[in-house]
Amino acid sequence: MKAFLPLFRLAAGQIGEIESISGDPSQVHRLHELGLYQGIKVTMIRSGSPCVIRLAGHKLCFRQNDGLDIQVRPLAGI
Amino acid sequence: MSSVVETRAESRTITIALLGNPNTGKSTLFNALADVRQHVGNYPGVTVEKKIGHVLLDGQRFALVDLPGTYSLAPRSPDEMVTVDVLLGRQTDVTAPDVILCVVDASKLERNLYLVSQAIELGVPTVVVLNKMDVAAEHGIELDIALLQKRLGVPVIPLQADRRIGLESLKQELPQVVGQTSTPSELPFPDAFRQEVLRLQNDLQDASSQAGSGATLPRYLVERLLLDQGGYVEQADLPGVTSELLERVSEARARLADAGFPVPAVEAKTRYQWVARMLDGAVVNRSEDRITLTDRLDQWLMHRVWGTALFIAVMVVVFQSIFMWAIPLMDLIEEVIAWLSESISAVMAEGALRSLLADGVLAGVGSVLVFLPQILILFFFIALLEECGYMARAAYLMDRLMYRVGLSGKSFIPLLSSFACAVPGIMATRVIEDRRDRLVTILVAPLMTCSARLPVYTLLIAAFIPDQRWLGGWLGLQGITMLAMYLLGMATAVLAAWLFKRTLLRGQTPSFIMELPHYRLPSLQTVVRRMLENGWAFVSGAGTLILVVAILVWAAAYFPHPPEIGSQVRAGYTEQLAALEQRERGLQDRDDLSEDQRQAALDQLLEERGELRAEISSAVAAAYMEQSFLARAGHFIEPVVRPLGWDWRIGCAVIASFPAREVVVGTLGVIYHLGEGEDETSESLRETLRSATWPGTGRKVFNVPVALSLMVFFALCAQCAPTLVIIRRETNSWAWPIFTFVYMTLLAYIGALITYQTGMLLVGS
Repeated sequence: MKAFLPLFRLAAGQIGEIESISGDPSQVHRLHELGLYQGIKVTMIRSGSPCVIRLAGHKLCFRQNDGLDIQVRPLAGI
Repeated sequence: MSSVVETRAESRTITIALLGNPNTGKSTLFNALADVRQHVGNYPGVTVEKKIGHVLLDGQRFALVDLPGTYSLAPRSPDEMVTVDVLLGRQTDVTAPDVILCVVDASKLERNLYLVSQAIELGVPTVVVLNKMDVAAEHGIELDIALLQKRLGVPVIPLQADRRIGLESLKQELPQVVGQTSTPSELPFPDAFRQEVLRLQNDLQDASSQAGSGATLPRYLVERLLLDQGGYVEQADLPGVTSELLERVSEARARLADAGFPVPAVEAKTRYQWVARMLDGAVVNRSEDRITLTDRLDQWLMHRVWGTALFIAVMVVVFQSIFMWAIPLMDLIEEVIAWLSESISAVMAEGALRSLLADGVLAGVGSVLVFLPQILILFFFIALLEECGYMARAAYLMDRLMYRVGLSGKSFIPLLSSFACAVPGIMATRVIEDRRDRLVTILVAPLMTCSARLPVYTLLIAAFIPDQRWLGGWLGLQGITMLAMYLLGMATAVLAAWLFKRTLLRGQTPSFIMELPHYRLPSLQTVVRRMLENGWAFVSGAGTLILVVAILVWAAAYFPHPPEIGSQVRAGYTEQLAALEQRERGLQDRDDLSEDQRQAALDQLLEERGELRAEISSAVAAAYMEQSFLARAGHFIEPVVRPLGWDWRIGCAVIASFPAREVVVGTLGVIYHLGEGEDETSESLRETLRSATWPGTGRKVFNVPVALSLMVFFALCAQCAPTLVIIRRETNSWAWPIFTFVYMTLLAYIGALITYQTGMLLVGS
């Protein structure tokens, strides 16, 4: 099993820890401000694009795009 | 301390700025606090709305400034810069705030304190309001407020703004904070970083004293300059920010990177670490992964199939309501205006003033008010859907579809609303954060087939499209033509959006990042208030201008109005009138008729006279119209519209419809000698249009290609002053409405040209 994989590859219900967020600075910044940053745990709720994830008590919805690369360390699956 | 506050109390108003993440209930708190609210348009040069409220607490006047919801104070656009400028007192049209009221969602503390960590760096006394305490409790979150207050070094006040719980203690606290300094137990950034900021600030000071400008930059902006690589602060043309200084900024970044603080990643990491230290032990979250009601609802509402089906159902209800409630209200407004106009005509002597009041001012007022029912009803639903948290789900569901056009899910509702009316649709684009996406949505919204186009289509289809039916009457040519007009508008909008995103408003990879708020029961008061605010924003922001345009077009159709024209036309009817009178006299003299017979004959004469009078007045109106500046403009543009198959009279009617598309129907009525008050269902108007001929020939003006070319023109043109005025209001610039008018008129012309020319090829001349 690979150590990291893109966030968008998480299946619904799977939990991952954010390893890195890179790409277009303004999108990365916006994700930071919305609480998505290195080390935080996220649960994939609806996979696909746009995807829905849960983190620290709230939910975010965002679209996969070329300007964004989010790597996660998968923790547990259901 | 308190004596200082009291002496101030008599002298001046204390300004409080409300800051907070979206969906924290900040506006609810603003409305609960303020006794008097006012919207004073936009901040200069940007699309941010200025909302100011006033309240009297213990005899002290407070001004409340409601800032747009934001996740951070790192400006990336002129719009976001306004928030920072207001907070730092750099916005000249707003007094520098004495207190920052930072509204925080207690159920999402970690993320919300990110903004607080920036707010306390501004050096303005700050109060943190923990709103939605009930939601936090529901989610199993326990808070040690005293500990949090001690660590943050600012007053922390728990609150439930929607139920006004905790409002009194906030009101008591506010006057106490003025003039105090906020000192958190620790600052977010470490010493090494603060030293670099200080160093840059000194560099700036030296440079400005050398230049003798005396301009300085607040510490917070220097910090942003350091943190926001390629950000807006670099481009904002701030005093002292020269290429030389930016060089020093990059040197400072390099030093920080060596010291283990790489910009820009350092900001999020440092601030969230600070937040974690602030919250450590002050917050106990008993059930991090509890399945909430929101989660259960989302399983259905965001489901690809069930969620989409429900969304369609919601939209059907919304649009049904508009047709059920708005259309009768609009009819009522039009009837009242028509009645007022008739009353004026009845009591006033004929002349320019009467015409100005009846046909200019009243028609103008009517064309403003007639939009209100649709705006109010649409915004009632939009506010309702937003307040309960559903709007974000709708955007999620529609994103896949809108992405293909190059837009995001947030553009869907504004564009759909534009099928009723582009004005509320354009006003609803405020939810779109991305400036380019918002502009593209605004630019293509007027292409959606709004209800004002229906009278034009109804008239022309009924008059010229044969009523052919197939499949037992279920499929008709007239219906297909109407559908084709709708599809034409939509397809053009899709193409235009696609084109704008690739040329004029090309940007980086389109991003779509959105928070999904918890569902909650919307407060009816808030929904109604937002609905009224939008209605008022339209009337106050666009009303005057629309009125002016309507009066200008009236003047063009009325003047020069030489009085001899009327008498000349009337003179042509003297014989007919005399003949009628003679017949009446002859009737009086006859003895061979019974009383009943005589009465019947008299009634018939009376009717004939009425008809003749109507004919005379419409002939007079048409004669004046033919002499008017409008007609001259019609003749002037005739060479341009000839290739579309139009005569000068159609050209005239199209010009006259600039205030509103549906005006074209009435103008066609006047100009083709039918008198005023014709509407699209009038059989006589249809007849008249069918029989109109080119002057001096027996050739008909209208045929199917001409009717289609006129319909296509109205499908694509921007003949709607309210839309253009509202685009100006929303974009805060005349450039966009002018661009919209030019591009849509060009499209309309080309579309009409192609339609007419190919039509004529098919039909044969």
